[in-house]
Amino acid sequence: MIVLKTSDNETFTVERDVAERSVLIKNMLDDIGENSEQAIPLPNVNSSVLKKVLEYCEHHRGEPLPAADADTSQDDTRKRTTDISEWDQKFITVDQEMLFEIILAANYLDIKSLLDVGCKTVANMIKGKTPEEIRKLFNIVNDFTPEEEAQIKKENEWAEDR
Amino acid sequence: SENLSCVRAGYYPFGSERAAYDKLLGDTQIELDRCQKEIDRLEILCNTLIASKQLLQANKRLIHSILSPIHKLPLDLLGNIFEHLCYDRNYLYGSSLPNVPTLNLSSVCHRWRSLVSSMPILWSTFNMIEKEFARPHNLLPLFLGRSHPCPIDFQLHDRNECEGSSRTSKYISSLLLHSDRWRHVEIRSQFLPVYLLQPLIKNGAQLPSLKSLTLGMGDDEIDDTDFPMTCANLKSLTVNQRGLELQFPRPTITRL
Repeated sequence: MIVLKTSDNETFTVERDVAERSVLIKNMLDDIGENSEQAIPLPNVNSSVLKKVLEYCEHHRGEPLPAADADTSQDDTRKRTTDISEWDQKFITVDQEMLFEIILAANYLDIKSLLDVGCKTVANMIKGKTPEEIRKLFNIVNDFTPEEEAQIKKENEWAEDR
Repeated sequence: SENLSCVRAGYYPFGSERAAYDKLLGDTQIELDRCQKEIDRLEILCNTLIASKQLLQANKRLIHSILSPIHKLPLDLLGNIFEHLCYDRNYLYGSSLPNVPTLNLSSVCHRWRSLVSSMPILWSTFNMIEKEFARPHNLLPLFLGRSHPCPIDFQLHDRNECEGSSRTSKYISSLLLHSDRWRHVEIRSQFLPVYLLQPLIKNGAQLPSLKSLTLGMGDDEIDDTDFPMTCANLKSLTVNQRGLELQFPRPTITRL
């Protein structure tokens, strides 16, 4: 069993194969050796987020991990989709605060499949929306200068001129 | 109400009564002026308050925006999300509604616009479905320019019935200038060989980035065609409705 310590000093005891869904933790474990009882500190992840991340790792334990360079080939972009499995969809149905925390944690812990689920979820939220709708969705203000506004207007006129 | 009764009764004052009414009129006017002054003061105050309210609301929106969880994401993760959105969904021409996610993303805020502008890959995939009454195009040069130096993936479907669609010719002329960057290409046109292949063959073009090519042609009787161009990385070739002479060596093709 592995002990993980979060930024708010909570500890989680998990099975090694669950923890090793995270490449970061796997590398740390490789470094400190098999028999260490030391808690692994995760200063960038708080307990509520780690709980969710571990739920994901638990569900996907045993599945093959993606190759380290799986997405580096430009050709792979051709296979990009925003499809998410049913379980993952249910799992990632959380408020925006938690969603982005999960994405950040997945990135920090190097859990590629979870990062992918998070990014696809945000992509699906944005899909089909106008810029104004996107701003509203994420509480983003329109901070363009008049010059930028003019350029955008020109580009959008091109888009409509067809 | 007393004055109203007088008016209704047709009363007209004379002498001292008239003087009393004149004084009453003067006093009323003074009171009216006082009221108007107060209204003016309150209007100025109201406008000032409205301006303050608008300022506070704008500030509130800014603070909300600062606290928006999406701003926690570093640019590389935001870019990752954008890639999911832009791949295969930029319909530059032909769809009934504007559907150009790359432009939508770059119209949200300054940070997003800078990011989208700095990622050629977001501009490198686009589809064009040309219809008979489509209006002139401007977006293709923008996408071709901003996608540089990335390989480009595109679909061009020319649905025009008559040969010589000037718009399709324009598209193809623009695309030919970037043929060294063609990667995954699908072109469907009744008159494809004339438009596409001849200029490339004539100029001895090489397509070093081309990995997959789909050519969909009309069902007219035209001689079998060849594709005598060097495509060192071509893996997949699909040709519909046409025989293809395969005299030109294609050692890299794994899917025909």
